[in-house]
Amino acid sequence: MAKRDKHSAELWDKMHYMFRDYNDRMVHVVLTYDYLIDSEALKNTIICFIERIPILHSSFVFNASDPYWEEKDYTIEDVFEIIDEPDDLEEATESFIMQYLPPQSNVQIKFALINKDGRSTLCIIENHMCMDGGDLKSFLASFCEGYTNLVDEGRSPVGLVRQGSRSFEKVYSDLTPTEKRMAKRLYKNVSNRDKHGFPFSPDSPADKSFIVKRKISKERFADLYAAAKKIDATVNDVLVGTFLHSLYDVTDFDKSEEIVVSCAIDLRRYINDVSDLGYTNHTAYMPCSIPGRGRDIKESIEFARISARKNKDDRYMGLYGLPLLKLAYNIMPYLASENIIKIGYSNPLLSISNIGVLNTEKLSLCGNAPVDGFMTGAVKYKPFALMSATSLNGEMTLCICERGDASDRKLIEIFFDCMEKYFDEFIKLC
Amino acid sequence: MKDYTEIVDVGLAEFENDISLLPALNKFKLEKKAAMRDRETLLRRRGLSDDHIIQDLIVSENMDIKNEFLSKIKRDEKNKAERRAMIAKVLLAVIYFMIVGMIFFLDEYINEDFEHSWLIPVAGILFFVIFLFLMPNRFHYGGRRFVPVHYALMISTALVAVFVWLIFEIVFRMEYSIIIMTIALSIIAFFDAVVPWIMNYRHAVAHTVISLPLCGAFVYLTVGFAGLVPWRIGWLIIIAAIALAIGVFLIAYNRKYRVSKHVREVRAYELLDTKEEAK
Repeated sequence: MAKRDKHSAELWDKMHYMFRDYNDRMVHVVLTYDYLIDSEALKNTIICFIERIPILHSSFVFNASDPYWEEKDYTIEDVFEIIDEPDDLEEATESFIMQYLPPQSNVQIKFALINKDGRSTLCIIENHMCMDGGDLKSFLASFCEGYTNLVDEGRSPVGLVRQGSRSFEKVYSDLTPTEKRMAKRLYKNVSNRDKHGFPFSPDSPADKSFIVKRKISKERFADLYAAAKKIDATVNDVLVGTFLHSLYDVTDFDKSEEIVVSCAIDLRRYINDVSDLGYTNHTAYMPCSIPGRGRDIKESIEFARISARKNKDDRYMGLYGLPLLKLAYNIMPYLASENIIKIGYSNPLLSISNIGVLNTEKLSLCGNAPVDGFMTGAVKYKPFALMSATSLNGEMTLCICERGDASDRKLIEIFFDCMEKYFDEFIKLC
Repeated sequence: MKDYTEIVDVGLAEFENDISLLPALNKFKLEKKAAMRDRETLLRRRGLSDDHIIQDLIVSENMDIKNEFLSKIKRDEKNKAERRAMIAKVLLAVIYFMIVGMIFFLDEYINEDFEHSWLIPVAGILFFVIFLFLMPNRFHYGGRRFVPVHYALMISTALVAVFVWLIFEIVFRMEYSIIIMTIALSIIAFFDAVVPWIMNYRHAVAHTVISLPLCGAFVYLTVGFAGLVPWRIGWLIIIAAIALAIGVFLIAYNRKYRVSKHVREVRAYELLDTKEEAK
């Protein structure tokens, strides 16, 4: 193989770099296992995967005309640390996952193994410029399989790492020629310009990154799912409806005001087979709204369902704006295109990312399935906010990562209390 | 554990019978094996301790060794052709300027005036434009007619400078208006010395080595015409620029051709092997 030191920065790499003003670009994963992970095997698996995915040990070089990734040297200490028997597991976990990896860093992913009381917690932080939640789940599945093969059979995990193109244009590859032609003409700017957001405190130098989690128990989640089915809604509709319904409680918005929230869509829905693609970002956002606060939670969820249905009926959902971004990056040097895009692009104040199910079978290590875990998106800077949702073992974890102070943390806690209250109300109403 | 080097011998076995390729093949094999050992050292230094993973990684990175060798052969041939084309272009430029220069001096000798001195820079720029846009593809940089951005900027700057100089020379009859040209040419030469590095051009060193002394020469002319530095001392600027260009060249050469420890070991071992076989 001809040694390649430089790799092109794809469209979404540049977009996520542009988002540095809105969030810290880190994706966070925490998985807890009821057994002690073999640190030596874990180290070897980590290095193997990082070597096979050069972006993960590359530094983003900001070049005024065309930025790129440049491979850098690293050691295992740069990407992996072991914490044995910390005093407070929760604090140690949060302290690790709230770290920030600058894009100029020599590595774009970090692992931590925290061992306590015979259990291991695997924490991962990764630069969103390299891959999104969807591909990170796939990465983790291959990673866990690789670790298992190495420990159980001594087999190297090299063949498990996906290799291929990271280009955003792969979303068009499985469309029909007519659909492809239509999709490549979707120049419409679909930025969400809604001005409704959380009433966070003003920015302050004392602000710190924090994560607020709320777990929805297995039973409650199952009830929610069943209730949603009765009104032909999905879990996503329930999340959006409840999120927006609760927002009216923590803000002073008029009940008749329409609020729009951006929901993440995995564009791999358009790709039949991702096995020959590289790890990258294929996520867009679709606006979901409710015209006003429903008379009850059920009505709000119904509004959310109708709004989502309108988007889903669109054959090209999520593909709008991509040709416009491509045009902007192609016809101008990067510095100029970033500034022009910022004029036209409006980062949503409110967004939801339903990352989905973390498959315990695929995330098992030597037959030991994770007993707890979650994945969450980037730490947002005020006034932006993102709620992530993942489910593992039937339990759903809602997370909001924010950079703020104690009052902002309290606000989010109250918000989640409202959401839990409305979940119960929805279950009763159905 | 050195099994991964077998892939080199196995992958390139079909070329062993081609005598014309043998020297290039042996050199390629040596470099490849040395690179693989370097890679193993690097992986171990990074913390990888599992031999199977090391072997699999190195093998997976060298699966297409046959095509890699063939591409290298093609690239070497293409580089030779490009070097020949570059030498031809330089000779052509020298002959062209000698002819234009002779025309200019003959004209001045016959007519005894220097009103046509603008012919030379205009002829040079015309030549540059013709050369870039009208020559066949195979004579261009990498075989492409595509003009890098910085060349377009250089041409534009030179054209503007000529125009401004002509105005000051003919309309305002300003003395030493030639300084406008020398300043513009200094900027162009400096631009050509620096921009290829910033833009990561393939032959950035060649641009710097050629353009730095040229920049020095134009700076010398500028400060000389402006009366800032006496002519008899000012030529040191050209010497300094040449020294800087040589320094840049040496640094770049050293970085490119410095061989790894493994390549030296392997070559020494091969030499020993050859001597023993000869005995």
